[in-house]
Amino acid sequence: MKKQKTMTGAQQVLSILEKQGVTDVFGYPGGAIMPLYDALYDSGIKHYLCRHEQGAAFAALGYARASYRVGVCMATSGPGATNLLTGIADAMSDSVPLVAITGQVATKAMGTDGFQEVDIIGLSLACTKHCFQVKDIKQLPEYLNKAFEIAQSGRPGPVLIDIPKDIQMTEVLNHDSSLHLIEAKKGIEKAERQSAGTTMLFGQAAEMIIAAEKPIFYIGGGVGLSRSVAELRDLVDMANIPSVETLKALGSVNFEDSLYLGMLGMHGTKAANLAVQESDLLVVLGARFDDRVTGKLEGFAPNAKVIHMDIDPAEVNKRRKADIALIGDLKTTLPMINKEVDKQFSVIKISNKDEWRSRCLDLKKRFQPEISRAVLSNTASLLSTKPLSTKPLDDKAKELNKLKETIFAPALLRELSGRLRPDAIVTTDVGQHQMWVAQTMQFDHPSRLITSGGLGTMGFGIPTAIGAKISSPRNTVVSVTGDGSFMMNIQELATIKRYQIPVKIVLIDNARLGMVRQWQELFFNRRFSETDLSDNPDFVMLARSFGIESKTITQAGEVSEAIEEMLECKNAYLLHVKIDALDNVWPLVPPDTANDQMIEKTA
Amino acid sequence: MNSEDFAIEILADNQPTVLERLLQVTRFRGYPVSGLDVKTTDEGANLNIQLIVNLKECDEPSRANEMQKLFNQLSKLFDIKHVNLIHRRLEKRTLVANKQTVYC
Repeated sequence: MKKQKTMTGAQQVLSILEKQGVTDVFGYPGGAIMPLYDALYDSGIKHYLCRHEQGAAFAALGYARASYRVGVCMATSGPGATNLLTGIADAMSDSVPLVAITGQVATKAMGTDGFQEVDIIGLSLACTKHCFQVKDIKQLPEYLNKAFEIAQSGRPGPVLIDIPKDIQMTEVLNHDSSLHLIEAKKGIEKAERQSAGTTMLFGQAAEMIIAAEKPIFYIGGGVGLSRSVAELRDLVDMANIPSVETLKALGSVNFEDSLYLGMLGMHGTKAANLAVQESDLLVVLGARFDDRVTGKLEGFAPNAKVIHMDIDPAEVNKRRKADIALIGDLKTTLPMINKEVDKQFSVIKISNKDEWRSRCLDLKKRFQPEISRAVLSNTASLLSTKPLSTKPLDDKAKELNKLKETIFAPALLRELSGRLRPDAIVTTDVGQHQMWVAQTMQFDHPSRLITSGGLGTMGFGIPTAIGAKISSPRNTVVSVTGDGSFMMNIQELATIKRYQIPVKIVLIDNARLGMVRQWQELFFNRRFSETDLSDNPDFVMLARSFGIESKTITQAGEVSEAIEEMLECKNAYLLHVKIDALDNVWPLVPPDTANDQMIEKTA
Repeated sequence: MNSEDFAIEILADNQPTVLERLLQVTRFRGYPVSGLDVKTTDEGANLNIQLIVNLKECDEPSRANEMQKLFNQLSKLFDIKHVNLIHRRLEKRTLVANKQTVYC
């Protein structure tokens, strides 16, 4: 069979995607992207039809975060493209490698306010690492390959490429576009090798760590993003100093490490926050002093010097001055600091941190929630009776009421965590349930928890679970969501049905916009404006209408069996969990307050 | 131009999005623009941009730091090849920082 002499722009797009190693894409067709969808019809690339372009963008995002591959989503012009923007903005905030392909009206019609025409380039300027518009077919291979390069290199992020319909249909000679691919790959390698900071600087940093009496590792999402968890754990083991993690870093350090103090920040553990406030040296690894972490910035770690290791020079000295900045990919720079620390530790035997270690262990013992002291095991019954709140329950009442006891979400989540295999992936939406997941569930790698950090997007959880499961079919994927968030991308239940994706959904239902309700209770005089969601639909009936098995539980005694049923089920499953609307997330650092001033209950 | 004005010289790829991205950064990060001059060079391949930002809202000792932060943000832009910070004080030009091609 004669090889085709020419191909269309659309076919060229797919050919380049294949060469980039793309096997799955997420999208929704439409007028301006029809030529691309026509070419997809013959392609080996698997396209997953979502039911909203936002769902497609989040599916690509979940795919990328679970598998470390570039997530690819596509949509038509106008509303299709604008619907991708929320997912793109989320990828920008959380540094996720995404390539978004949008159709555009024909080049002749551009700028005339055509049907389904929108200036997506203009709109995406603020929420992409970079964007391309292909005005000439000759630009297509270069721009598309560069899009992949930019998305993955340095600090990852989303790149949008806008392709007019007539360009998609233009015939082009079937020439080898691999030249651009080779250039693009070289670009990625070059970015990876870049690292500033001479050995001398690393030596100085190591000296600071040795000299510090109260050092602490402040670990951020950058460790997971750079795939340097092993290198981090080497450093943590060697240095034997306390560590705290941000939301995106959960799972980086071995959670069984005795000096791991938990998550820090607005809903972090008291031990983590107090330790950071007392520390004299922050070793910041792939973190950016986000406001959810620092609380009142001027009051954050007031006595600490800072060693800041990050790939993005713009993050260093942006919010907090660094005494030593080590710019570069942690995959390269962590081994360098490890070497220096190792060298110096072997020369000097000092015990200047013994008191600090005891102090941190004491803080951990005194302040970590009871629930996370429980050993990760099958002791399910142990967990559902000890609430984190300070409500006193007399023993007899506890005994009598055990079966009638309402479900306490953190307890359920802790039990769930114990039942899941270490390689299970958990996605969340945003709000109280998200914080409870972060506080009570345990992860063995940062890629196991996929949660919207920087942008905090409700509606994130279900589509990202879909993308994660597609990228990692052998891993159990659980999506913990709330009744508010669940409704936001509800249409993606159709995607679950279409592809029979066996995600497990745990819906924590308090019939409220929970986190906002909590803030209204604490800071707005209990004026519960627009946070009552008690008119929710029947979620079980809703799930079943999509062919998804579902069940409601309301009592603590039902939890263990329900979790087992959900995990044993071979198909998708929705576990609808009703909880008390008054349950709040503790501790909480109020706005404009330093992290040592945590609130632990309603006044 | 006075001591609150900081000049930045930029060499960028002549792409339609360059100016908009540049001004998005100055607006979003809070650097009021008090001057802007753009010329194509190298037979239309590149843009030579002189940008002047005004830091009067910022107290004197923090200005150098704020300019470094702007420099860092501008350096991240893919189409921008070179960024020079220049602070004119009287007749003396002090080259404050210089960037070669960086991917970030």
